Amino acid sequence: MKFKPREVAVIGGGVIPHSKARPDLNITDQCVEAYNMAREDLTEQMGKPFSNAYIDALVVSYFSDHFAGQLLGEAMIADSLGLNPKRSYRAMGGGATGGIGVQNGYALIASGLADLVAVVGFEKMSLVDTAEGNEYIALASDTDWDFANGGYYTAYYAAMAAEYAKTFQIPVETFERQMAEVSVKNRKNAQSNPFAQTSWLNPWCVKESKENVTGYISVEEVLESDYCATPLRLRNCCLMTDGAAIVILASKETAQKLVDKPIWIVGTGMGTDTMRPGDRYDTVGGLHDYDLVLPHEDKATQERYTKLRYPGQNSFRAGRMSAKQAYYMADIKNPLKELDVIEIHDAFSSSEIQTYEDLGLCPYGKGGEFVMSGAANMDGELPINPSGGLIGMGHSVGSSGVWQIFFTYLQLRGDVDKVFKKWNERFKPDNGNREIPRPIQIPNAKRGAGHSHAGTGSHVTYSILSNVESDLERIKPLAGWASKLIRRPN
Amino acid sequence: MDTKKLNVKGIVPPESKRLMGQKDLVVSIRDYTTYQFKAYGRNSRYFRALAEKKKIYATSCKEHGVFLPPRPTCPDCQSPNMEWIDYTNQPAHIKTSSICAFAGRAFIDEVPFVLGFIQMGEAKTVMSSVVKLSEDPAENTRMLSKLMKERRYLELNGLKVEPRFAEKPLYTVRDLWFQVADKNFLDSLKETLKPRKS
Repeated sequence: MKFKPREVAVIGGGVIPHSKARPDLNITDQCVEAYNMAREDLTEQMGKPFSNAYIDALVVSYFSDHFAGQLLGEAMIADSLGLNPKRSYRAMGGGATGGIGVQNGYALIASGLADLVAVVGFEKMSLVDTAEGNEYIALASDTDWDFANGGYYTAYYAAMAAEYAKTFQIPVETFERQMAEVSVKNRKNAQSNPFAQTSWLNPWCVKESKENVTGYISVEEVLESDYCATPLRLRNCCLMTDGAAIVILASKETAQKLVDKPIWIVGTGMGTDTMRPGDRYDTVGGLHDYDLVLPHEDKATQERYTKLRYPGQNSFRAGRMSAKQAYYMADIKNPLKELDVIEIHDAFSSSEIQTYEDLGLCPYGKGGEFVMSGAANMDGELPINPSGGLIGMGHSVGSSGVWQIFFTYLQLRGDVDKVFKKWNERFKPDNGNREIPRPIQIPNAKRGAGHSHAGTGSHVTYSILSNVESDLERIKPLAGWASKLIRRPN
Repeated sequence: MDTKKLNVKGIVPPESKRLMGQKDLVVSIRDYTTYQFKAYGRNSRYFRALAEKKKIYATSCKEHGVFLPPRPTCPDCQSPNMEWIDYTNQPAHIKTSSICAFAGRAFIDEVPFVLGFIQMGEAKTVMSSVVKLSEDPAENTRMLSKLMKERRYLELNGLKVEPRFAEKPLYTVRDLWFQVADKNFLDSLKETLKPRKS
């Protein structure tokens, strides 16, 4: 059967200044504030008022009932946005909640259930202290076997990072230096983003602190910060955040009717893995066994993979699965060349390095060299996390995957500097009348992607956006894909 | 959150960082103290053996091998016909680990401690567990601090370990931990106790 999903575009979005605490906004206010930014932007684009009357359905993504202190919060969000009695529900999957929300919105339109969908994500993490917050997040690990041992997320990622360093024989000093590079890069990028928690442009940034939580950070400062869980230091970790973000998705016909610059969703991939990192088998040649080698990986690399233990605790199989699907769907043959920007889920700088490899930007084991080469910098071959990523923006769990898509959308629309400047002007004088230090727009960006990651890689979504309309012709549906990944027994 | 420390009823004081300097806003305090039960179901057998017999049990599927932590049904074929096998005396080593210098609320008072992923025998999976370098908490902390300070923490991975069982079991995974058994490694951490040559 020949099947083609309906084509879907991102037509707008919004985000609020992220902060350690936003006591001025409760959870519904956070979402409405993000929506109002999207509404204003869409009104400008359309040349007439955009309103909630255009919205057919709402997907709300927030990770934690515990943090919000509220169950069924999605009902309050739908109410606040004036969307009752329309279709609305919550999409949730740990740290990938936002990415799952966006892909849900995509699916609603692609399947014909709606023409215009709002996906709003939020998290309010300031209502508890850091140790309590770490515990809440740790409840999203196996509470019988891992959490009960004193496990928490930094420790799980840290143990995986240690295993990664062992597998690829990276000396500890080299590895810590590579991880520091990720933090420095993302914090530097964040300085141009007035919505980033670590940016001085943000009126809600932390202005007085003994720890270096706002502004640029140096390699030395990262390496001198205390260990949270070896090998991860404090400045290798993202921050807890109050935040919200929204993207507005529309079918092709609706999008072209409303705006001049729709940005197309041309690929969506999603992978999963076991909740407990310890449950992932160390399979020699696992990449081949699971059919997870990417088509563009050269022969020597593929040969090396026959001896590589995979995934065990060294790599995120779910991330690789999401990449394999998304590249197939979007017909991306060489991600490093064809993509111009990626927002990667850098909850920890180790996981950004591991993710370069999962996404096929470099072979497994070479992620550290990739970042040290400058390839991921703003002027590099493929800028990663120009928004500042989770380390720069703060990880507003349910909204992180949403603002990744929003910022990528702005990059592909070519308007990111314009939008940031407009809002920075509005944040004066509360931000000390600071100016944006350097542009963050990637010149001529055509294709970008957002990578949203849950657990220790229990769920990963990867969505590819493009501003090239002819890319829509290249979309291949995943149903019917002759891959071992979806093979059924005869 | 310790509301007593805040010394207020129902509202955080205006100087609280939670208000970000916005003194006209209200952040009130909700007492959310609770406790919850834990049902281990078919894995109760593991926790009973651990607490009452000081034994580590794994499960084995005829087709797909040994699982530790035990899986009451095989994750590969979903067969419930798993054999419970005594794995207490199987060789064990740390596959990977992290020295936790910070933790969630429940364990924050215990830092630093090692969260290890332990490979036992031929198990296909690894089990998380606390690993100690010394039974003496002060010495354990000293050794871990040295490993962090000298950036030697990766040396933990691969070390042989032996199981230890709680005297007063609480029927959680904490009834079991592992002691590093590599004497040379432990000695290398004790060296600093000798006076240095000037």
